[in-house]
Amino acid sequence: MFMVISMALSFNACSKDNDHDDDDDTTAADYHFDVFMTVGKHGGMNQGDGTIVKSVDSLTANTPMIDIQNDGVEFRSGSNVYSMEAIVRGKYYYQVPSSEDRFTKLQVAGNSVNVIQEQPFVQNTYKVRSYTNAWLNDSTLIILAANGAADEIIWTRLNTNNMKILTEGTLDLPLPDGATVFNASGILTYNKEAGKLYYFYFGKDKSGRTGVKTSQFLIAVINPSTMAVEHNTLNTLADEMAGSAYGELMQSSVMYDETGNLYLAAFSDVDNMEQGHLLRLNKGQSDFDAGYEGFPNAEGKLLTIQYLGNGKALAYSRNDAAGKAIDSYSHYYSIINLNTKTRERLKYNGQEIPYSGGRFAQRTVVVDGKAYIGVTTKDENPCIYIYDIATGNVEKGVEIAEGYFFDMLRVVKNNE
Amino acid sequence: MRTLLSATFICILQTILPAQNNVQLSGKITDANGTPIPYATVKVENTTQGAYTDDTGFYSLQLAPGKYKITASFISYQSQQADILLEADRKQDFVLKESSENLEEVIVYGKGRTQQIREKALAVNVLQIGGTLQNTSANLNSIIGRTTSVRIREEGGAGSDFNLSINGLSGNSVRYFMDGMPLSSLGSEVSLAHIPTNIIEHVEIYKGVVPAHLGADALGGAINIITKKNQRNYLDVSYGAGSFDTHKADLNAQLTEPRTGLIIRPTISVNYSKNDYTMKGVEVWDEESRKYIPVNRKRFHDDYCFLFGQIEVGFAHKSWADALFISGSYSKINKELQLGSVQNKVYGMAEKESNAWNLSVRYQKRNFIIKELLLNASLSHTWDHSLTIDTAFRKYDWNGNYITSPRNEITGRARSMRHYKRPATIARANLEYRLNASHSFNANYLLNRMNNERYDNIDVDFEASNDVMAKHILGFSYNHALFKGKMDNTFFIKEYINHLNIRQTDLSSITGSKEAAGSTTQDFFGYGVGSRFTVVEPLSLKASYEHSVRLPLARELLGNGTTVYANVALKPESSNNVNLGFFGTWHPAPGHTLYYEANGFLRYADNYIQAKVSEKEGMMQYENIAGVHIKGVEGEVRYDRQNKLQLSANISYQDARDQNKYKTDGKPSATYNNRVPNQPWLFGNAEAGYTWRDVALPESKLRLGCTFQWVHWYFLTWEAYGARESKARIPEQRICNADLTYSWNRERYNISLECANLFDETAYDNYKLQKPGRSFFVKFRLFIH
Repeated sequence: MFMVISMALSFNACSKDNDHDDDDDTTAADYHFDVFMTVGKHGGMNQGDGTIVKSVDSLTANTPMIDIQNDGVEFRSGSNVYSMEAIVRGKYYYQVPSSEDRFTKLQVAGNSVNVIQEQPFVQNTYKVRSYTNAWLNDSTLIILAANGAADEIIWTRLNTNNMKILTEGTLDLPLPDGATVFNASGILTYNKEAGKLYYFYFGKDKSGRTGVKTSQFLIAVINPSTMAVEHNTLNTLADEMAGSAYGELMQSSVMYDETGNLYLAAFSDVDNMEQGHLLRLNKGQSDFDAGYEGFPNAEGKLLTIQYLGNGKALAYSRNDAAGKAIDSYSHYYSIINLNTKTRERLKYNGQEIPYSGGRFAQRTVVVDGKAYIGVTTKDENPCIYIYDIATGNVEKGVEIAEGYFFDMLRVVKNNE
Repeated sequence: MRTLLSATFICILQTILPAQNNVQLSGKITDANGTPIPYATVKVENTTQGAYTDDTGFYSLQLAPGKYKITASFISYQSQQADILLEADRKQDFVLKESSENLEEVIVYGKGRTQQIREKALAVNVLQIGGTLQNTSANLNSIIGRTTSVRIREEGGAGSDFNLSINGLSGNSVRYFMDGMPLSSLGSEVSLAHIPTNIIEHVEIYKGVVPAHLGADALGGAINIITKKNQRNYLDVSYGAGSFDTHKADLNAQLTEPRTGLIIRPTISVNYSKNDYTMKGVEVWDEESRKYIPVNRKRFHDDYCFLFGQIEVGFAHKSWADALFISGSYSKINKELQLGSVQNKVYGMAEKESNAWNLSVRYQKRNFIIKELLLNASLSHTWDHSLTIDTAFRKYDWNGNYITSPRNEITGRARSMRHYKRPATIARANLEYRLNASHSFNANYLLNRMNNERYDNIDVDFEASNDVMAKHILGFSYNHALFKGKMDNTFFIKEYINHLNIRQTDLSSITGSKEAAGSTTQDFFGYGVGSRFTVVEPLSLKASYEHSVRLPLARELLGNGTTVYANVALKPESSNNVNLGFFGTWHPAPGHTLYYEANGFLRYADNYIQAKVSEKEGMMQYENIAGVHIKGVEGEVRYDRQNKLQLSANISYQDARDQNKYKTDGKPSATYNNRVPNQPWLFGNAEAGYTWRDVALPESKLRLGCTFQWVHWYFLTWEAYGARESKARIPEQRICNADLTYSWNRERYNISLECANLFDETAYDNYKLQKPGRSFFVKFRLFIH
């Protein structure tokens, strides 16, 4: 039970690895929410040029409507533009900015963006929003991506206290059979309980639009100390991981339960549909549990997953029959029972919450025993629903002004 | 459309009839050798009437029967007068003798051909590129950038990319021509900044409403460069050098073989700059403090070299041709690339180069088949090849240091040598028929066929493509003059035929290529009208309207084979453009001239073509969106005193509002009716010059000039959103330039000293992409004629 509470209180919406803070006395005064909105275009795929971040202390219904008219801060500093696809942990964001020459640790404070510490690239270089990451502990971050020719996987280990580069290198990972390139970033995650890094990736016959996956995705198990690849296994349960191009910089596609089992959102192309799968990789294993499917009979792609504790997870997925475009009103939230492998669409006052638009979105965070779930439905203002993890109750929270793209919600620790 | 045609027809009927009461005075103006003098002025004294000779020295006037004093004049020639009793149509030729006194050339303030165009019905700026401008190092970009309604945004120093806007519409909305042929015939990378100013006679800047004879699918306007067509042999050669290791040499000449009359016109232009100007406040890493600190550093990888050579050979003023010329040209541009999209993205090895060969022929014939029918025909083919080299796996910083990187500099991918071959064939035929001095008709046809072949000889994964596009643009216009020339009207229609050969059929559900596969032809129409009415001598009113169309580019329609999907259902952009204004010239006292002009304009551009993110990660596709509505006003005042003191100032205000009511998800958009970001909306220019004559040497002059450019600051992003104090903005610009030019021996020898950005302001048009600070330049020009 202690573990469940600990999970619920942690910032696991942001840090998807299971090295979660054991900060079990988190209260509302300890954190705030950053609402990422963009004007004119979606923020996620346009590298944040029109992204405005609005920080609020609460997302409850008594909070004034969130609006960015003459309020909020542009996600930039000096001559650098920051991507909304960023790593967030504790009080800070970490990312490779538009200059693509450094790692940056920054903080949004009120209506300003403060650069806390930077570190120029020394050996390995990365592109904005095209990398994946894993936290080994509160201060050790691993960044990983394909190189320019996409024929090798490079990595950098950072001390995030001072942003110094600890070590860098290249994974000893061969291209999959028949492949000439890796996909851009893949998904890296650290299983603290198992003490291993897991890297999900696949290969393509060539880069670019016409490049075709050469196989289903693979699982590399990596020793975090030496970065040696200890196992490399071809998965047979799904074609591709969700969010394979930019890691989990925006969307959460990996989660862990209390025992250290890893869950991954994935999909397969079936009859012209990207059919979602929720795979489980049991603690200590190097391949998925062939007998487990946490998201059976999917109506479309499974986009994000977040662990709520006590065998429950929050999922954001798509009903392909209602539309497959980025803005189609076909996306919905559901609560998955990981044990029974059943799910229930999120309801409010007994009614299913209508479909939302926005495929490239992460509008949910889990903190302090609650899941804050942002929706962008067709007929109402965007708003937040608050799901009480312990009771299952759903209440309506703050509304968000119409007119913008509400792409992302983050929870961030306050300064002491 | 039907209404417009009906109105045109009624106007023709109404105006042809009263014109029958007039009689025609016509003739030819030549020099002592019998060579025709184009653009000479024929003035009817004590009236507001007059005319200008055409390229063959011919003029004609419609006058009521009576007695007149006619004056023929042209710069560098003695004026001639004739008293005429006009009872029926008659001819009156003039022979002008060269003059050493009347050499004063009129610069921007000139009359003659430029004034004639200005007094046409359409909204147009006309810049006469006289010796004063040619004596300085100013390139055509900077000259045009000082005019009303035009804003040029540069990304750096010499040879840098730029974006020109006319009344707020920019990029592909503006089309460029040289003598009526698309400028791209000289090479797809050749821009205004590359054209040597000493080959230019004047430049026409059409605002919103583009005459049919240009054959342009321009949404916001067009720029037509008119080159010199001198009658006499000459040699014009210049060399200049200045800051940032900049060198510029030009040669332009005309030789006529007296026995056969064969004319040879060579042009050579070379421009080199190291562009190593100082970038202020750029970031470099300081390991001791573990911070990026702002420092000043020189650009270290921005060399630019441009070479242009052209030779034109042919005949003029023959019985079988008024002009027949064959020309061949070659242009070469080598550019090092210093910066990416932001100031901190520093390159140290990436380069771009382009080569273009052109072969063309042009033919002009007056009285072609029938009397008063003028034919202008041109045919051109260009072999164009550009290459972007991005093969260095390096990451540079502002110290010029680098680390070895596992990716290339520009795209962050594999090594790449990306080739673009764009062979283009352009054909133009223009027929102008002058029924009489009051009525003329013009028909124009332009064919522009282009391939866009792309391949990469290092990046094996790059998918080569070769798209073909052909545009046929037909235009027909009718011009008439009323009330003894007090009113000038023009009506025109244009037809745009877009022919595509869609060779890709994959992803048809996304691209629509299944329905449009193979050869398709689309047809669109545009139309417009313009009118000028002279109320009194110093006050004329102008109004014009065009429904303009801009056809999609190959990339927009057919994608790029890698990151952009095709959208063969893409519609052309269209705009309803309206201009309304007045202008006039007032002579308050002898030797004093005041010119003034004010315009209001509307640009209602719809079906904007804009890139949208595709469903598939990392892909884009162009789509039509609502567009933008622009309202604005602009004004200009110029004063001239005896061709000694010249003052001018202009200001432009434009309010561009987004018209997208709905976001891509179908819900209301916050940007609707908001000011479009990252666009200058208030800017102006001022110029002053004073000329002293016979300084130190006889027949010499010394000119001191100063220009000042001002741009109001503007937001980089939508102004209404985000806390204002935190928003990125492009700061106010106040740039002052000065020049001192000394000419002697009737402008045979000229030397100029210039200082650009006199007060060393930090200036940038695009966010943090700095332009050069203070710089100096000296230029010597020899002009033998």
